[in-house]
Amino acid sequence: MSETLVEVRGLSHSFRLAKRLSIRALDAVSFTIRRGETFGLVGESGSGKSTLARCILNLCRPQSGEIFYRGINTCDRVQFRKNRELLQARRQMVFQDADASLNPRMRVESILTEPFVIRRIRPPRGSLRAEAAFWLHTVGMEAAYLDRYPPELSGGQRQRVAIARALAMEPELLVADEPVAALDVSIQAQIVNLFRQLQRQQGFTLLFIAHDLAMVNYLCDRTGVLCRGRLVELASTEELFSNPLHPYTQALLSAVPLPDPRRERARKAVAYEPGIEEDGVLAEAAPEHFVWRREADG
Amino acid sequence: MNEDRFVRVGIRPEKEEPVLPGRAGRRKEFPFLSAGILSFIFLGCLLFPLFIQTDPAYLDLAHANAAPSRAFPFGTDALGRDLFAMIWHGGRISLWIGFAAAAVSTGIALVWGSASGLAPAWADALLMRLTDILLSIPSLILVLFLQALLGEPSALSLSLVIGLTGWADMAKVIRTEARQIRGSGYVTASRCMGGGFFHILWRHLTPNFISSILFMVVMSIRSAMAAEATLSFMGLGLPLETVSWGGMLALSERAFMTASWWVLWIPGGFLTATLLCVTQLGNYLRGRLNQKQSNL
Amino acid sequence: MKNRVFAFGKRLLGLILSLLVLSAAVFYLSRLAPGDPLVSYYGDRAEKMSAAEREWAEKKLGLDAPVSVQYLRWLERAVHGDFGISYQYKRDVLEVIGERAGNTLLLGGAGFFLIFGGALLLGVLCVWWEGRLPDRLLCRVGTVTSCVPEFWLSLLLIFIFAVRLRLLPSSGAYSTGGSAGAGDRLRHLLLPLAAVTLGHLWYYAYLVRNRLLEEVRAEYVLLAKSKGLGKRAILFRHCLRNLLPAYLSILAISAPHILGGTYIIETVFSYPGLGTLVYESARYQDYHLLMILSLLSGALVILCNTVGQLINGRIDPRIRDPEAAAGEGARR
Repeated sequence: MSETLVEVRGLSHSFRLAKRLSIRALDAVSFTIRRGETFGLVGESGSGKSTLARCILNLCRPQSGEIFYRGINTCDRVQFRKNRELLQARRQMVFQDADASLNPRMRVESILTEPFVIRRIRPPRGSLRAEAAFWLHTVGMEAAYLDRYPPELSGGQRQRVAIARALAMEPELLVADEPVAALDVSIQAQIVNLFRQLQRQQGFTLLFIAHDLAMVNYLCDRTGVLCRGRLVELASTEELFSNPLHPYTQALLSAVPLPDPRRERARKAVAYEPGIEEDGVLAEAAPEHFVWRREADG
Repeated sequence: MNEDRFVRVGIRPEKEEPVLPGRAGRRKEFPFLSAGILSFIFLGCLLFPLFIQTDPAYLDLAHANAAPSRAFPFGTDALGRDLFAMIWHGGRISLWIGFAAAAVSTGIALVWGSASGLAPAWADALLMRLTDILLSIPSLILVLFLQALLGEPSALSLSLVIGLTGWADMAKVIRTEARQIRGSGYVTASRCMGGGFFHILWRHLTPNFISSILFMVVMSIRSAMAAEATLSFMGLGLPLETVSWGGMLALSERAFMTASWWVLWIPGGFLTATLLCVTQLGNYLRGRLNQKQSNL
Repeated sequence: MKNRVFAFGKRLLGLILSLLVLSAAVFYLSRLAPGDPLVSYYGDRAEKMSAAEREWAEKKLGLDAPVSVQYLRWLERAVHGDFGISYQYKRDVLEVIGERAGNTLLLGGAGFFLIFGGALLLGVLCVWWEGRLPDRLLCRVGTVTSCVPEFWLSLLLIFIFAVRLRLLPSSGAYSTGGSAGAGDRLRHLLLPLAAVTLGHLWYYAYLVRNRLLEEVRAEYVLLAKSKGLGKRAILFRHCLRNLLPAYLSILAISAPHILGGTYIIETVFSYPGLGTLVYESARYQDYHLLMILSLLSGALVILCNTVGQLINGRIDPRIRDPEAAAGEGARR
């Protein structure tokens, strides 16, 4: 087993919608991400996936729980401050909506070199422009795009620029929060392949958040399933897809359309009634396969 | 799911394709007339005082209330001062105060507004509450107090006073814009990369509301000039010896009695023309025309 | 229901707190400003007073104590509804204000209605003939009028209508000595009212025009058109109705602004209203009068802002509870 990069322990967070109404976005979530792996996180909308990503990258302070990155407790202000350089440079994020995450008034070149400007780093490839061109090339775009503004690019191109910006710092951990959800299906495939190829080249650890199970199946080594802020199942992707244990996972998987019409017609959707996940613990059902169970069952 | 299928559609290198023009909309036409008039007034105020021999503050009582003529192109006022000399000398002061006051209020509004826009909710509420309180003091009272505090009124102190009282509205607009932009993904992305407050302010917020800020700056030049004129007119601004467009109108009550229209029309005309041209320029800066067709 | 009472209480508390801060600020500021309040009470006599007399006079007016003590004393009496006497008029400030408030309310109120009625009308006219002659003409004229400084506009009006044409009186709210009938008051009101209205009209008309232009570009207008609705029905029943709540809130927020504009015009026309009073009291250190005037206008501003916010909250609940909106956004 390889080294642990991120460890999340008992993470909880809730949003207050009104005086007395609050929504539990995350509830005692614990898991680890190992160095070099691709960790998938799936769940329906509103299940807390994005909140989790934001907490991991310190964009959002969790109400309780801890997150360790290479043994540094990032939720602790003192420790965070001490390691700020490392934490902010070596962990990068790709957002769901590339449209919004790129400043429409900045040229692609300035967008790509923003991290260098912030950290006042001398770009390793000479000039800022050469650096920007290199990373643009890495994601398969010509240097001619350097002088364009984001609104002049297509959706897929924008997402590639966002990925290039994240990669420019040569991160150890890349968090991709539904990076393909806003794209056309044909472009989705391109971007997912890009992730895969880049990960092989650069060797970063990838936390890939999606609601498309096929993507996760294709890309990820291990996968966690979030349901209403709880991590209900966690296993290697292969194991999870072949032998789902939690009813929610089963319901999710049964909803995936199959490309073969005959099998598709024979497919039976499993209904999932909410509430099953109440009260329980994440227990190891099989080696490396954790599932949320009621304590009595365990 | 096998890999070939994805690789077949995998990433293709993008060739650059031309940008279609006209997507962002046509710009408004540049207001040449306004710019022309404004630069004439500007240059006039800059250059004419160098050539005019007449002292604008000289009281030539023998020629009081003279109508425009060859000797006095714009006539003289009730104290016998030459209006032509006063206009160009006074314009210097009026324009200077307009710019200086606008600079003061823009500076304050930019810092205050973006601080409030970027601050956590409670600090934002506090800052905005303070702004509201400031706005709720009648500006007349505020100006009087500030002037009393700063002592003998001069062009500098007056522009400081006007600047200090005129920033609140602009700060509110900036705060709203900052709030909007702050929620946007690219600011989050920048924070994620470790961008500090000033980095975000400079690289992300400023460029995004530069056009509306430019508009507001120009408009605040306009309102500062109007404020100076109003104050000087009411006798609360510059002392009588310092000539400005507003101050020239302070004597208009006497002009009523002698029906000397030029005392009233000429300084006011210059003031209004300048304000109008500045407004036109501001509207031009505000941005692009709405190219969409009406559905009505 | 309980929530509503709570929210109302919170707003009220905010209002009172704001007024407290405001009153303290004005109190200290006015004491900081140089000038002799005794002059405003005793007139020229104050300058000839001996040191002992001065001391006695200051003691009588309560000006000998430190400023903070003076403020607390003032506050204690103000809570009981006693806002002190005006140094200049030597009467209860509320009385002094009461006499003048009617004039200002008349001018400001009439101006307010004219401005907002007129702005709505002009805005609709512009949209009806968008890009054609009436629209362009109105835009041109409007831009010019909005640039004319209020005081100069007032001067021009006086010059043209009172000095040259001798049609209307140039100052005051009613003829001295003569009977103050309604006609006489109206004649005195016309010029200041014209100045107040013209100065603000186009600003708001332009606002209406721009909002309406955005509105008529919405998709629902196409739908209404495809249903066979006429231009007038679409404009009035759909577009204007969508615009009204926002317009109302702008109207509420800008009420103090318009009232503030009347202050200057009042001074030019020597119109006996609150504006002239504000000017005098600040100039001549009439402390008690100044305090009550600042409090009144402050309360008005805050009240109007609250009304505007409430209307906005009705239109868009997200504004009412920004945190909820933020939570919603973050969850997604």
